[in-house]
Amino acid sequence: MVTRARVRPDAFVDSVALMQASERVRVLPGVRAAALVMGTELNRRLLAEAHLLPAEAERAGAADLVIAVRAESAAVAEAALGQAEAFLAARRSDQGPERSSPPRSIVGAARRLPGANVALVSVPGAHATAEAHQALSAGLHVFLFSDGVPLADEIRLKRRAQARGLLVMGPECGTSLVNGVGLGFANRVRRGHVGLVAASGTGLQEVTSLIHRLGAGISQGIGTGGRDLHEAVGGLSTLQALSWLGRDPETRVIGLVSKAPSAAVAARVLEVAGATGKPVVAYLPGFHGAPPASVLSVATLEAAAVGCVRMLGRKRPRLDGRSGRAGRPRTGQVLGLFTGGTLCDEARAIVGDAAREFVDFGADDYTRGRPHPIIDPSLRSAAVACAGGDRRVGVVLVDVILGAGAHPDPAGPLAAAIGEARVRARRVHRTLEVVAHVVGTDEDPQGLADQERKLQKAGARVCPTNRLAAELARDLVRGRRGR
Amino acid sequence: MAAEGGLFGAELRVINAGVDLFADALGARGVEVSRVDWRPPVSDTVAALWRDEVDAANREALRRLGAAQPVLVDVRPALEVVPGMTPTTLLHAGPPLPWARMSGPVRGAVIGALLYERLAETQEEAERLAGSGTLTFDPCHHHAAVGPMAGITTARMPVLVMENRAGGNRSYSTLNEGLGRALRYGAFAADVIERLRWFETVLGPALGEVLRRIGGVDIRSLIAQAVQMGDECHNRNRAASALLIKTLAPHVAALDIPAVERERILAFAAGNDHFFLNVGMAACKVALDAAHGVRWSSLVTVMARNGTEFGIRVSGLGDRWFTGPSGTPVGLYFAGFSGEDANPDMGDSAITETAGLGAFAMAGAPAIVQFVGGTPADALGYTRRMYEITLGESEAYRLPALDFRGTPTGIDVRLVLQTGILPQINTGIAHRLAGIGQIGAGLVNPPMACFEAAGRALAAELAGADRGSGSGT
Repeated sequence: MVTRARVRPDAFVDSVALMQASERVRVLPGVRAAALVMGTELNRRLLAEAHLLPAEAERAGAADLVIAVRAESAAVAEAALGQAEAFLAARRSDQGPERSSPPRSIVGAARRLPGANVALVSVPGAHATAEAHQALSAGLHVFLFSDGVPLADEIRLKRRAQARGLLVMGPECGTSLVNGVGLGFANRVRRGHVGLVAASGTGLQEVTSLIHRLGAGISQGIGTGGRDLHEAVGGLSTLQALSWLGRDPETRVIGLVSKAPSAAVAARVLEVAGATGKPVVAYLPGFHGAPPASVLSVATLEAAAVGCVRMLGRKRPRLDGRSGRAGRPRTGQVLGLFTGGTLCDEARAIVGDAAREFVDFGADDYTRGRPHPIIDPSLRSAAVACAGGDRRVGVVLVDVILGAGAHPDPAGPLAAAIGEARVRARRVHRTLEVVAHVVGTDEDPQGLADQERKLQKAGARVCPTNRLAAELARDLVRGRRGR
Repeated sequence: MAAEGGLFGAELRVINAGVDLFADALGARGVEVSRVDWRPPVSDTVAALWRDEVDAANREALRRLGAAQPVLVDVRPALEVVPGMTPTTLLHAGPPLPWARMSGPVRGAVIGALLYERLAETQEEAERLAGSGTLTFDPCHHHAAVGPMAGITTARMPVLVMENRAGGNRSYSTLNEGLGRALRYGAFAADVIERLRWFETVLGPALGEVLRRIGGVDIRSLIAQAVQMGDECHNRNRAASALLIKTLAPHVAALDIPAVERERILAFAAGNDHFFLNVGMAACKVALDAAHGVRWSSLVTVMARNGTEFGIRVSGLGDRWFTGPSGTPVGLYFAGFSGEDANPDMGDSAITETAGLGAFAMAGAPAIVQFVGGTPADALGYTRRMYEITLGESEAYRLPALDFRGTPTGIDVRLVLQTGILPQINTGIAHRLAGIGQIGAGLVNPPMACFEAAGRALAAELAGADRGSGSGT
């Protein structure tokens, strides 16, 4: 073990730089101890106590820099002294990257975006409640896409929001159109004077897209989450959105859409909707109560869209599109394979006892740990392909959902799956009919016409509304003639 | 505000937490989106803490913190002014700590204080007395006081008296002994005790007299200046010390005491770059005490270490401490020392970070960041990261390097649990053996367990109140 030192006279280096250099020398291989200090009396005493003060450094003064090293050999010590000098001489970069790391919380993000008004929350369900509450604390309206939020949490969130004049859209809210901007999955539709409230994501997408295709437009489209009209939730967000639409000068007609509601809540919501003084069209499947006079109650999403447009004063709103004739009956029943829950429910009700099975690939069981089928429709595509080999299935009924956030080309992989299904059916000497409806508009990034054409080329019959598609599927099985 | 006025017709500005796809779609349409770099919270408890009651309480606590006007008004013997002080009480830094669990430097400071108070004549006698159960050990924080490092404060020691002109409350801290051998690092040699006696007989009375004559010194504006002169007022107090000495010196010179003592006072103050540390700590303490006790508030009002444990207190959680083991700072060591010599983190000086100074103001003190091998850009980064866990920004303490943005102020337990970001603390490093003193400086964080426990406690209080009022769902 040897100790070596160098003294550099009148070499002032600030103490922190010296400590840093000491640290770098100390960790060099073979070095046992190292110190770079100014040669003050105190420092020389400390060096002596640490056995780091060889004779050559004993007479250093307060203005002298002492570099001392103890190492396993003289060569290592000398090399380390050279290294120490090099560390001190090296110019340190003063061009540290301007680190502006992204915000780590909704509160932090809101602080950085003045005027922020909506939080879009799509984190895993177990953490969604905390994020939504945090957003409310930050004074933000909440679009809560996440599913798996307990009902009690939903109620608490909505009550809290209501007391603060904030709106919770969700949980499990697929879409909203706020001030013409889509949140979540949303179709490009023109602005107009129909204001919608929907406790149903794909229901809202179907109605807004059809209204666009009928030539009218949307003022606001507020999703409230599929459970909003449940008894326990009591329509908290729907009632709030209705009162806003009632006062919104851009909104001339109000449309109300929901998954199957609680009868009591539906009655209350209709009453409030009627009291806005604006014409109201309501699609509340399974609700058979008597609506107020100003409310038109309809049985299908298509009728909701047509009704809203008619209430705006248009005479005969018409949808283009051929569905074809049903002709003679097919063997087997209708298999519904859907990516939209409300579309699935509506179609199932229309198909009735001609249904073999209806599957909603957007249900919790299919989305746990994987993206929503509107983003990634591969599970549904696989099911379509399989249906070709199932002799109990005569007709496959599908939906395709376009818009922002959706798969960039959902008809592409579906067309391939349809082709495969038909090949499989042919192998067992059967014909498989596929009926499809595409939810979307000509302005959607995927292009409605383009997507429809892909499905038609694959041999699917494409209908302009979910209602027409379901009826055609049913009639294909029953053999009733199409209209 | 008309409710729908907040949404309908407004320009949509969106915070995105979760799937990037949705933010991309909005961005493509020209909507301003701020994306959260989201990760799961440290504790699910946090969901129960985002509540209106807590929001409102935090606004009030933060208001009180920001409104505080600390003024240094006097220096008095602790026994005269510190509430609850007795001749046999020893106040120490951090959360409660019995003699048996004290680390080396804290024990050394206790021995020194007993010798100083003449409660013991020898080290052995002092140790016996300390373990006898006849003395009262209590945290400084239980007496509106703060002490750096060991923080030992006893009856005869002169203490700074800080008054909050906005709230009327007061806080206390000892006089800083300077670097090298000092009681706060556990040294109790004759020179250390001798200096404490000089504090008691000369320095303390002289400073008290000066402060009474001039009607006190506004410490808030002094800190504000110092922050713009490169101090963060925890590990770097050079500018603040100079400013304070500049203010006091003419009046010290005018005191009716022997010239040799006036010279010694000024030389001592001028020779101690941390002369201001205890003053700054007392100023932070008086402001945070004003913010303490707001029911439901999740604002952290104390972060303190006793060399064994780290403890925090929270405005809405009364006198409770939430503790975890003290960490060891990461930093640079003076020649001849290394991490093996370091004592676990100690001292009440993290009160500076709690009040938005120290590491939270590092952007204004880039020299400090070198202790962890950082760059001035890192200094900005440390401060920027602290905005993620604080409720507000200081009106008074502004950082030139961040366009004079106020320092991040008021740690929110909720934001710590939500983001997993721990408060950053600048600290001196003490030798683990009594009496050797400071051996380095660096950075340290509190244990997350403190915040988890505080979060659980606040959630339990809220749930209890819900049950009581029947408003829970």
